[in-house]
Amino acid sequence: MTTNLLSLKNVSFAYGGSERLAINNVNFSIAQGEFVGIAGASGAGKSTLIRCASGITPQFFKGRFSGQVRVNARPITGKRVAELAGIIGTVFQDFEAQLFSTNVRRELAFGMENLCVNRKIMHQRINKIAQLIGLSGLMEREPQSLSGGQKQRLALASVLCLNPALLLCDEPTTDLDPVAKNMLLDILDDLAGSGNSVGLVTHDTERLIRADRIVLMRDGSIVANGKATEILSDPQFCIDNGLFAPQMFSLFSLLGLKDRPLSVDEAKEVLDREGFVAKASPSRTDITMPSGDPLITVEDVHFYYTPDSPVLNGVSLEIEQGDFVCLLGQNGSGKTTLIKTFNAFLHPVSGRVFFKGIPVEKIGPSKMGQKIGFVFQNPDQMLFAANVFEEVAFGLRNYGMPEKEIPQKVAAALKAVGLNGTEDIDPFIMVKGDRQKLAVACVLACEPEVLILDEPTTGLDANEQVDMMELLVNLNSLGHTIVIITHSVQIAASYARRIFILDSGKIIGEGTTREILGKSDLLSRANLIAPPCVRLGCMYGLSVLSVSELAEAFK
Amino acid sequence: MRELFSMWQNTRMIVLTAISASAYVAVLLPFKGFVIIPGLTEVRPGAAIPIVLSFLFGPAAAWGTGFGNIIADALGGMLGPGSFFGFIGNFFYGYLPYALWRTFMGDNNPVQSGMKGWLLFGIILITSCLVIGSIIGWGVDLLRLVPFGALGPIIAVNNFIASAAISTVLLALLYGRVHMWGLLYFQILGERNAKSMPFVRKAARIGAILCIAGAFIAFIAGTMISCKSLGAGYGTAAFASDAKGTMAVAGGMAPGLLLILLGAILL
Amino acid sequence: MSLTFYYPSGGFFERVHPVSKLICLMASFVPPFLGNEPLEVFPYFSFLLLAAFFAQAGANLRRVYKLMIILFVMSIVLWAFFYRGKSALFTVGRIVIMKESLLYGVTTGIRLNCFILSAIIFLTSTPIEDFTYGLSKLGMPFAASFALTLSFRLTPLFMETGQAIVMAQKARGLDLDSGGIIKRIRHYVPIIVPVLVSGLRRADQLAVALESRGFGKTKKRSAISEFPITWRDYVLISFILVICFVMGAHHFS
Repeated sequence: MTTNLLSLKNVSFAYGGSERLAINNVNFSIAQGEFVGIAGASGAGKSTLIRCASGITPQFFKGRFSGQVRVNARPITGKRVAELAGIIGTVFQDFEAQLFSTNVRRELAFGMENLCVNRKIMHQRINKIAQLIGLSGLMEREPQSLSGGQKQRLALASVLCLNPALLLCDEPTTDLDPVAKNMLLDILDDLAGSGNSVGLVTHDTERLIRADRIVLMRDGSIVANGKATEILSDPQFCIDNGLFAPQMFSLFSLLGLKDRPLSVDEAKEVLDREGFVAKASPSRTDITMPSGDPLITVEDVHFYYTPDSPVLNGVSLEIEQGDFVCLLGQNGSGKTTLIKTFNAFLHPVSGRVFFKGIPVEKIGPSKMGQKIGFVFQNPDQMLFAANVFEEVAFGLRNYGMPEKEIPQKVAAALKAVGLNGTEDIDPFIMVKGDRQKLAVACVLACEPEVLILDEPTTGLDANEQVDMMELLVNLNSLGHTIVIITHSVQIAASYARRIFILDSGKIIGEGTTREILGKSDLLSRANLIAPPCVRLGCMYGLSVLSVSELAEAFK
Repeated sequence: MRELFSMWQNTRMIVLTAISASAYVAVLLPFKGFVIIPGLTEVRPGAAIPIVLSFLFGPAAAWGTGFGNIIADALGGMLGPGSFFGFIGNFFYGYLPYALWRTFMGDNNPVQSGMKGWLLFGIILITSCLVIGSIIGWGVDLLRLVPFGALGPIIAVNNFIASAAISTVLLALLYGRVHMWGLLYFQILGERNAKSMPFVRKAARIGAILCIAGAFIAFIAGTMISCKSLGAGYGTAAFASDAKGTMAVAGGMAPGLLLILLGAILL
Repeated sequence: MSLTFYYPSGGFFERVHPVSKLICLMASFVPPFLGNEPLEVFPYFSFLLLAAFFAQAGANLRRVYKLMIILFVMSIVLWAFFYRGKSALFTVGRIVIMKESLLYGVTTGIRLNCFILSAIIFLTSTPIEDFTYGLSKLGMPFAASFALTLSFRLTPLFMETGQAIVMAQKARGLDLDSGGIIKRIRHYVPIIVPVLVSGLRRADQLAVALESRGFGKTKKRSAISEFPITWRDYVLISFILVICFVMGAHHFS
């Protein structure tokens, strides 16, 4: 291996006046052309590590810094972030906060303009990078009109136009759907292959295993460093560090195999070689379907903002009382639009939506809140009050709850989400996972029959995701009907009882979770990516929902 | 007022300027609040935003409010000669609140400063609303486009109702949090050493008084002159015609406006 | 639908240098003041209307025609009160409408609509960056013109966020249309706070991303866009100057 492009030596940092070291005596390096993954639970110090490596701390975020950071053997400490542009490129999670221009070409040029690059070279580099990142057809588009995946690729491309030797990415895939995630990962992989050094922070272990090397962080320190097959081989160790173990690793661990296959195909090969035979589909006693009455009925709903680009194209569905339903689809498939018609936020152009047989527009959006509770994707889009109590009480007061009953209702809602005793806390100092739970509590307090959650697990680490989903399972068992929208087939497989697959504004598949996950063609038609255990199961003609089911089939 | 120019060295302040402008427009344009005469008299909740932003982001709010007005004009197709006065008026609307407050109260929290604080806050609200009404109303009257007597008071009163209704509530919910995130303007720009010098502080106090006095003088003069000519339009026939009335507004308000300008420079 | 009026057509106006366009925009505000009678400003208004169609601003005109009518009517009503006339035309109840007041109101109404037409032509043919580029060439410092560009870019984002927040709060039972004036304004607190907070959460991120792209590294910058000065610039500027001259000569003679 060649020399280290980036090296951190005994680096520690504490933000502002904080006593706590966000990272503590870290030694870290990335070699020329190496692709390094950085993983760990929320708050483990991954972002701080990236910030230190790129000079953002202590230059931009002030605090106590010690140690040495070198890029290309030259210390960068003391250099302004702008001076390091062109040497270190950084891409962040929030793509909206990385785009400054009103069209793609100008966006790509922006950094080069700042560095006073000659116009002819600018055009050359823009064309080259746009080709490489797949933006060539979009040059004159407004960033606002691009999809999330395209925006993030634009952010990456505009950084690459500065020719950085080192590329650092802080959770760039979190807000993207699976196809866009894979696309971005492929690009990063290629970049590393062509000599760039890449550091990538992510929770996403299934994708992380493609990295040359993985660094695992915990409480501000690096606790493991090495190949994915070594570091993530023990499922329990992964869970302890807030990560989902790669499913093939877990499977092989359950089967008592030493190998740690990086792909489903590789796993199949090893299993065949070792003589494993899958037994016929094990008889599963799935949780019985609720034989409830129809709660939400959607009849042939069409919706568009402009007639030439329909968002919903004749959707019909029925959600039964007490069910746990998942609307599965890519970003832009119409999921979020669909649920907005449930509450009469959006009025279908044609078709109707009923709640218990009553047309929802007759009830009206404000009143519907007591029947259908909405938790939107970003909890920051609803939290505002001075403390948790006021936040939860807001909905109750809107619905005219007598003041003396409010404390008890608030306490009950907070208890249900596991935030009891937090009444006096400022919601804005809570971590994202807790803010998400608080959002659920706010909605729950109004005692709706249905809870609808838009991407409830986005941006949460493994433990937080499990917490959130267990919370929903619990609420479901107490009688709430649960509807979640997600593009994660894994979440649907693990928790949903019934799945609707949406693609281009149409429902292209509906059935019990097991029925749906057995149809791999259906998932791929909707551009969804089934979790590895499901894909491997399909290869053996099995319809499995989890690693443990699959392992059982092989025993 | 030096910070109005030195802030452009700071990337965070530049970003906060853009955020202030966009937030102002995004709340001002779509949310109509309480409509009295559509298109003319609407008490829009967005009118309270610059006051709040000013206490939080100081000079970035001043520029942001001015830019926000340009954007609102451009998005509404109203980019005209009035936009110039719209920019100046809004700039002062975003500049005066923090500048007046810090002159007397330093870095104190605007919603936790006792009786004296509330009194000053009230004076600041009234002054800022009179100033934005005076400047924009004066400008369009000078161009003889809209009479001051109609526009000046409407702007001042509408902005005052909106800010009085929610600016304190918003500040109570935001000030502490922005402080926690280290994004208050004096946290970003660092200690203001110059302000500790006695003669600078004295000058700022004189400036504050000039601004407050100028606001009242300009506004009252403008309204009186303009509405006297209003009386003439009613009922009875015939007084002197032509544009003398409007030039009288322009001239009569000039001393007050000059006081505001002078005061703002000293702040 | 796009929030801005810019419509890339590659036409005459779009290919005029941004600085020329800004100067012409300002110059185009002058002729309406060079006429005191409706008939003196109306020809200019008709000319601008033609120019607007020439600039393919028809779709944008449809967006603002209501505003133009409101301004026109408002102008007549307001100046009926505020402009002193001498010859009574007719009475409405106890109010006497003067001929001069009415004529002045109509003139000003046409003036205001001229401004709108000029602005629409300008906005239809000018991307935001060209607008701010023009401003910076006219002496606005880069940091400020950049902040203005960024504001234009962030505004639709904030508006989207605002809409999402309205939905989220309505789902919690917030009723924006109830109560008296103060109460109605106060209903917006649960909307304004999250709008500002979501912006603030992005502030540091935006600033970091900016600096990572070399923002503020050097005083000098290069520019990707080239704006050659062509015959179009000369034609447009001379055209407006001629109009100013002709109307001015008429006005002051």
